[in-house]
Amino acid sequence: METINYLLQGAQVAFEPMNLMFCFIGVLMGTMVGVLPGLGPTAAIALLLPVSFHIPPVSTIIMLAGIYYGAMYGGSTTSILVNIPGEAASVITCLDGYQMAKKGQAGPALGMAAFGSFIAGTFGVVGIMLVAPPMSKFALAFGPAEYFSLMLMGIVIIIFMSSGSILKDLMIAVFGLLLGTIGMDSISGTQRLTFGVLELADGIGFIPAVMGLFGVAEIITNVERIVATTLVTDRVKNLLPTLKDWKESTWPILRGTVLGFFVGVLPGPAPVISTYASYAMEKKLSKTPEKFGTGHIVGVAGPEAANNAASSGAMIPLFTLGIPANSVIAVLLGAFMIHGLQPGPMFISNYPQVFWAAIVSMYLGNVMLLVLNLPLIPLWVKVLKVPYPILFPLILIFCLIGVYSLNFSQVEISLMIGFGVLGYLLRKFKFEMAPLVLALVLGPMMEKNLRMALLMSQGDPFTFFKRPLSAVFIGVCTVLIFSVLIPGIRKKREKMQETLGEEEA
Amino acid sequence: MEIYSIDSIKQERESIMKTKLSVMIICVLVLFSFNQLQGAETKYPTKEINYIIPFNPGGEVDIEFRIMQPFLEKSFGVRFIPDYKPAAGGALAWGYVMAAKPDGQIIGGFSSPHIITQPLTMKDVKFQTMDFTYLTLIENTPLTLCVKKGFPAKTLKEFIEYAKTNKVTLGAVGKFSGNHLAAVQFMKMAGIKLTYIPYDGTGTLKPAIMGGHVDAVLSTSTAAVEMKPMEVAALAVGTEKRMKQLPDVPTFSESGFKFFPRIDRGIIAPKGLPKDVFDKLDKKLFEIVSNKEFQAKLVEGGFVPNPMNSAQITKYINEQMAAIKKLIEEEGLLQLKK
Repeated sequence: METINYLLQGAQVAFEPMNLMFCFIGVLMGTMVGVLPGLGPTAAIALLLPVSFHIPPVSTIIMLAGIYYGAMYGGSTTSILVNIPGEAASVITCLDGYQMAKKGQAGPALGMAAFGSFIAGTFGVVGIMLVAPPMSKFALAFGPAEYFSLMLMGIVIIIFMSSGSILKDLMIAVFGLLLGTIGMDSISGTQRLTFGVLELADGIGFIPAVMGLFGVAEIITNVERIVATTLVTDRVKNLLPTLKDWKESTWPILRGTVLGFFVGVLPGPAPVISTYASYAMEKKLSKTPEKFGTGHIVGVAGPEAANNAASSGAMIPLFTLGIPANSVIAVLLGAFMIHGLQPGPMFISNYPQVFWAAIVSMYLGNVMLLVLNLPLIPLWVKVLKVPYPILFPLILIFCLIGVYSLNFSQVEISLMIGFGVLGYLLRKFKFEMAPLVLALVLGPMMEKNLRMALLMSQGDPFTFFKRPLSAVFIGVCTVLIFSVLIPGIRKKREKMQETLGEEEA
Repeated sequence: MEIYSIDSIKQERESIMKTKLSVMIICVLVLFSFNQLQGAETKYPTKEINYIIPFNPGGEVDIEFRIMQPFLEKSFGVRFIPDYKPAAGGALAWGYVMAAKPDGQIIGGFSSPHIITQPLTMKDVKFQTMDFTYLTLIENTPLTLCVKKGFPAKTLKEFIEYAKTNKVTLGAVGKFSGNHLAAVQFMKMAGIKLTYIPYDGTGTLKPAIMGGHVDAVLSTSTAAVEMKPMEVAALAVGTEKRMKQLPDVPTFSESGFKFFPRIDRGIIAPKGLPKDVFDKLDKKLFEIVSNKEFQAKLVEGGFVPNPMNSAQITKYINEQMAAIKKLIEEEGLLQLKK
């Protein structure tokens, strides 16, 4: 009963015209960055952060969350029509989606991707609603030891799951942790590695770093490679899938939803992983596995549902523990903090109106996306034709203005440019960006919790193994790290990397 | 026809306006030259005043400014524009105020003891505590000592007795913050040693005590009120008299401790303000902070009004600084700044 009450209150806030508008802006922007190759939801949210500074927190969360799940919708469009994934979670959709488009079935492919996303998105929201409130009561049991071990597990999982070399990922994660030590050491109160720059006393600004790594670096990288957009077709017909399509796709969508949601709750680049997992699962379960890769609608429906459900699932650790599961959520966390909202066990009880309004807005956003996107597909096709020489300088200017408007600090502009160059070099040397960002965000939190746990245990390092929850997390880390050494698993990882590499190239 | 007439009226108005404007300009110029000659009576303030806020929007200094803004604008007749410069616990903003031109166009909020402890404990701070003109003290927020659910001590006395024989952890916000220094001072007065655990903010401190991860916290009184239903018990509050919101919580002084832990907030300006500007600011700001209507609004926001004029606050800060210096030296906390 209580839940329904809260839900009604949330609906009241979400249905305010202003919030409806921000929800609309969010999903529209999200779809657009999803459509545009080279600009992902992380960069888009980071770009809009400074703008969000001037609107109320509820509207901000509604808008930024809209970008996140909106991008999952948009990403499939380019995958299907141009064979270029709009963002990482849509790489898999290229396999069958583009083949379908070549066969003249772009319409049903796009339609099924949208419906799959809608169904999964809706279920995902219900999932958050059911899981998050009890989970946050449970989260009070998390002390510094548990937080530390959980964050450690997050970093290990993201390294394990990434498509790059484990060694490089470890290197870049450690580099991120090191960057995280810049600034005031909150336990002893001294300043570290600030070199007399007072702006660094609170650590490296997260927003300039993300905007540099994802915004600026993305543009520099794209400038040097010519993205040839070869549209299969300008006209998309028959968006509504046939009864036969539905028959084939219903179960894959439902399975993808459940799978995606649970993968989403775990730390890691959940939306990306969930698409691979769903595709693999459907192929295994299918009576006709040979049809996959030739334009089979199931290969579109399952993964597209999975990535949407995963993006909802990833909200749960954010809302209940205040821990970001991936880099997009990390930027969202930054947005919460800017508005003085502290995500964590008390979030739902402290800001019920924000939480429930966000939930209701996600329902609304999913409906908007479905209603909007099917008729808007021709528009997205046009957006794809905007020449990059116009688009890129525009984005670069937005980055510069955006980061400056945040604190009016030249230091942060320099930081962003520095991180842009760094990001470009890292890309060139095939380093993954996700471990760096996650380590940069989690680093200071991890260090603080590690030292707090040790203070509380009077310096006993075994506190991490004595506390049962913490011991479980540490156990998972150990198993993951050593499993890489087992030949069978190593081969599988290498194989996955190869296929990934081919698709990305 | 009508359009014509409106146009002609407009033109006429414009020409009148133009004459008026030129007359005004001449007047202003005359006044200005007169001023130059006389060197007295400036018309401060003639344009909007920038109010530097050293913390994030939504923090206490911001809330306080928002409550004060209409009173300021009414009294001074110009707009007050908030300018957020949050970094390094306020040090960046205060360095900025110190270096600003002392013409009364830039004033800012300060928190004590932050403004006292930073030059003592942080390395790159550009100012000394006495590098400012202290204009007024507005309010403070008292701190309370709370213990977790099921903690064996029910009163402050029992708490101290218990801590003498057992290991007790005490959480509070920050290191070298007002809260930390209050904790150090409390341990010294009570003759106990607690394990101090610094948290980032009240937002992370609350779940820590509610989940029982620390035994006790020294936290703002607003947090104590909020956590009461969660069976987090407040043992003592740092006010002179019991707080209205916490009627059954005794003050520290009731148990014999002359201990009033709190965060003070007021307004500073750069040093070297012209005499007339200073006089005007001192007088008008004190009027506002003593205003009953304004104080009622502060109480609503959870603050305890504590109005002081420039002379009083300057003396108060000097006293506080001496006490804090002594505490830091005695407790050997200063070794950090080389």
